[in-house]
Order: sequence, then structure tokens, then C-alpha cells
Amino acid sequence: MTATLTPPTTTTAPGLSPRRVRRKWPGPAIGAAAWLVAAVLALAVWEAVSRASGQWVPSVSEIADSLTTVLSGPQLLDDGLVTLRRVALVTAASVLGGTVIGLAAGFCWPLRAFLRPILVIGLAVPDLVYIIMAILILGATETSGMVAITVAIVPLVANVVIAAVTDRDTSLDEMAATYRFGRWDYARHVLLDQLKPAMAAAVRTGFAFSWKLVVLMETITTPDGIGARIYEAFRFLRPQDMIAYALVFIVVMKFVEWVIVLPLRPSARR
Amino acid sequence: MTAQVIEPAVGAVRPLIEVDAVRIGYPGRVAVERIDLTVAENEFVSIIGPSGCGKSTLLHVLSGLNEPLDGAISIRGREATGEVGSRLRAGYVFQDHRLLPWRTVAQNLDIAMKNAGVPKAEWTGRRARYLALLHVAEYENSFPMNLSGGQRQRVSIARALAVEPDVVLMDEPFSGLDEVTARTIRKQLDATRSPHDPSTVFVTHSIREALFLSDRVVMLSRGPARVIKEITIDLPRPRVYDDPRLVVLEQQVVAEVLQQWEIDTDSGEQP
Repeated sequence: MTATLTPPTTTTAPGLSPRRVRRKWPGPAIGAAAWLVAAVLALAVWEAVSRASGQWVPSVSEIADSLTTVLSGPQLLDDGLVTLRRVALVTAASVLGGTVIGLAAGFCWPLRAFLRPILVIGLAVPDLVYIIMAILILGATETSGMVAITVAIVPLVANVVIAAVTDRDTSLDEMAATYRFGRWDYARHVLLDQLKPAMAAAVRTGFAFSWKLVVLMETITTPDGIGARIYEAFRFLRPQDMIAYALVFIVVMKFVEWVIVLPLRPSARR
Repeated sequence: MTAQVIEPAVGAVRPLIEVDAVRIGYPGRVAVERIDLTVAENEFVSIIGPSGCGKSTLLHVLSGLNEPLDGAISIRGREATGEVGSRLRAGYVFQDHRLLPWRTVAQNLDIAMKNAGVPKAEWTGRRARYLALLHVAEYENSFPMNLSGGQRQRVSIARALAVEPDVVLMDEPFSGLDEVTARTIRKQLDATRSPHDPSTVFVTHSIREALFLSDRVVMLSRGPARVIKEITIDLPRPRVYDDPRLVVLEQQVVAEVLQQWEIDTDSGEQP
């Protein structure tokens, strides 16, 4: 048997790796066109439903008129700011509370075992029950509604954080212990980056639940805020105003969500 | 070159680490029955033994991660059982690199140096020195996941050296690398070894690797482990991996190992 060594033949320049073949996503122009087509189709379907319902469902033009009125009116800003403040407070309180509980339970198995059934039950209770119970106990005030929503969202955030802590890479814990990392450096350099995806999910989930529940709470307990305006429009049988307020607030909330959650997204450098 | 059983020299300079009749275990299981081991200042000691005999457990004790069930550990002649972690600064090279993937190579070294108490003024110099020594200086600002397996392990070794350790503990650091990369790093470790380097305790399955790199090789029995033999390697550095003297010694050690480590089929022991 003979073995012959031949100089390696290269098809690429030295130092260059072969080009990766990647599936191409549609360009921004095609993406925008797809959105436009979808929006036009949705409007057409809405208009058809409106006509078929004998005008019980407001038409696209009625909603557009109402939207112009709502946007140009002075009340939107005041009510919007009130609701935004409530959403911010509830999101911050629920994420903070859920994170503290999640971290403590994630690192301490007896606490985790103790909290597990409580969190499961907490998640199973309908959110409206929290709001009604809070109103019964604390009265129909702004605080009672916000406490109820915070209590409803905390188990959700806590569960996400517990899962992230227990799924962390313990070999890095061992490395950190070997190199005598202080608590602050361990938290900052080892733990935080592993929790970032869960924290982003917790903030996103907490925020998404917060604003929907805050609007619901406002319809029941408060005279101000977007929820109160939607309820007012319902009482005066003006569905186009309800939809206009909802649309404006959805756009604002999606923008706020994008601004809050995007910086927390883990980078793709791992 | 000699291969001999070492008797402790009376009146000799106090070793860096003295492990005296140490027993290590976990609830319900003894991993290391009785270990007597000394590591001198600047000495490169390899520990070889069959899988599961407790080599890595011993390194955990030397790094302060675990505490022994029995026995005593002294650091520079002073009793240090139970406080090895605070008395002995260790640089640890794991089987896998264990670098922080979300920090650059430079940041990985800086964080380790900061926590080891290396003055900040020395970070840049030490980083440059050890990354250059391990031939990864150009990747200082790269993230670990953009490096090859061999490069990551070099960075891991650079981190262990950069913390100004009393001892470098290496737990089969080349077992996850291809043979060519492993040989290259071994050669660099051997070629750059100086009398002022920190003591090193190196755990490996590879007898040739142990003989090539070490001043002394400690052979452990099948678990629960005890020391069955110590071999001094007095070849000058830099060494040649395929040095015929190493090859002959390896054959002798393998022959002995086969007797000592072979599973006793008569006793019904299963692998």
C-alpha cells in the first residue's frame, strides 16, 4: 500500500472561509407591500361585515372620522397619560416583584417547593377575580385595581425567572467559584446575561398583560383613563369611538413595547 | 531519565501543597480513599488514573470548591484544611473552556484578574503577555464563540496564568481538542515553561501527555483512589513529544497500568 501526499488545492483565497448559503428573507419593499396588501384586505373585510350587519358594526369611514375627532380632542392626551402612568407602575411593580421572587426561588429549592403550588394557583385564577376581590377588600379605587393587576402578573413573571435561574449554565457557576468572583461580578457577568432572554420575556409579558388589564380595571373603578373613555363610548352606544380609542392606544402601547423590550433582547454574539 | 518511587526528603524546602491522608467523598460514596501528595513550588505534577477514580474531585479540593472528609491539607507548611480556597490562589483550566460567551477575550481575563486581586495597572500587560504566549493575542477583542475550540482553550489557559496563581489546576484540558491542536498547545506549554512559572497540577488520561509535560507523574489506583506510584521525569525542556526515551517510559508505564488498572473480572467487577 502506498500513501501519496499531494499539496492541498484551494478554491478560496487563504484566510477566507467558504461562503455560507443563507435563506434570503424578502427585502423591505416586499415586506412593506405585504403589510399594505394585508391592511387593505382587512379594511375590505371590515367594510363588508359592516354593511352585512346593517350598520351595527361601524364602517371604516365612521371609524376614521371618530379617529380624527379623538386624535384632535384635548381629552386623549390627559387620559392617555393617566393610563400610561398606571401601566408603567403596574409593569414595574409586577416585573420587580416577580423577579425578586423568581431569583429567590430559583436559587433556593425549599422556597421553590413552597411557592410552586401557590404560583400554579395564582396563574389559574382569572384576572377579573383579582380585580373584584381587590375592589371588595380595598374599595373601588385606583390603588385597588393596580394592586390586583400586580398580584395577577407577578406569578407569570416569577415562573419565567425561576425557569431561567434553574436552567442556567452551572459550569459557569463553578468557574466563577474557582476564580473567586464576588457577588456583584457573578450577578453582572455570569447570571445577568443568562437571565436576559427571560427578563425580556417577563417585561414583554408583564407589559402586555398590564395595559390590557389596566384598561379593563379603568372601565370598572376609575372615571379617567382610556378604559373609562371606552366604557363611556359603550354607554353612549358609539362603537366607532370605542374602536378609535382602542386603536390609538394599541399603537401607543406597541411603540412603548418596542422601545422597552428591544434593548433587553440578547445579542447574537454567543 | 529515571522512573522511581519518591520518598519524602527530610529537611527539604517546604512544598507549596501537602495533601496528607486526605479522603474525599460525597454522601454515600467515597471518591478518594487516601491521598498523600506534595507539590513543590514551580513544579509541574501530573495525575493519571482510570476514569472515575477521583482525579477531578481532587482538583476540586485543591481549588477549594470541595472539602475533604478526612485528612489535612497544608499550604507552604501551614495547616489550611477547610480554607484552601482563601489561602491558595488557583488558576483553573477546565475540560471545556468555560469562558463567558457574552464577554470578549480581554474582558474574560480582566474579570478573572479583578476578582483575583491583580492590580488594575497590571491588567493590560499581563493580558498581552499571556495571550501572546498562547498565540491568541490577535483575538483579544473577539467573543469566545467566534474562536475555534483550540483558541478558546488557549484563552482559558491564558486566563488561568493571568490571575497570578500560586497553582494552575488543569483538568484534562486537551481531551476535547483534536490531536494536532492538542499537540501544538502541549508543545507551547512545554517550550514556554520556565523555572519561575507557577506550580501546576495536571489531570489527564494520556500517559504520554503526562510524561511529556511533567516534572513528576503521580499514578492513582482504580477508585476509591490512592497513590500507587510516583515517577520523576528529568528530561530537559523543551522536550520532543516523540522522544524515544518518553516512548520507552510510556511503554513501561502502560504495562504497569494494565496490571494496576485492569478490571478484576474474577471479582465480578463491571466496567
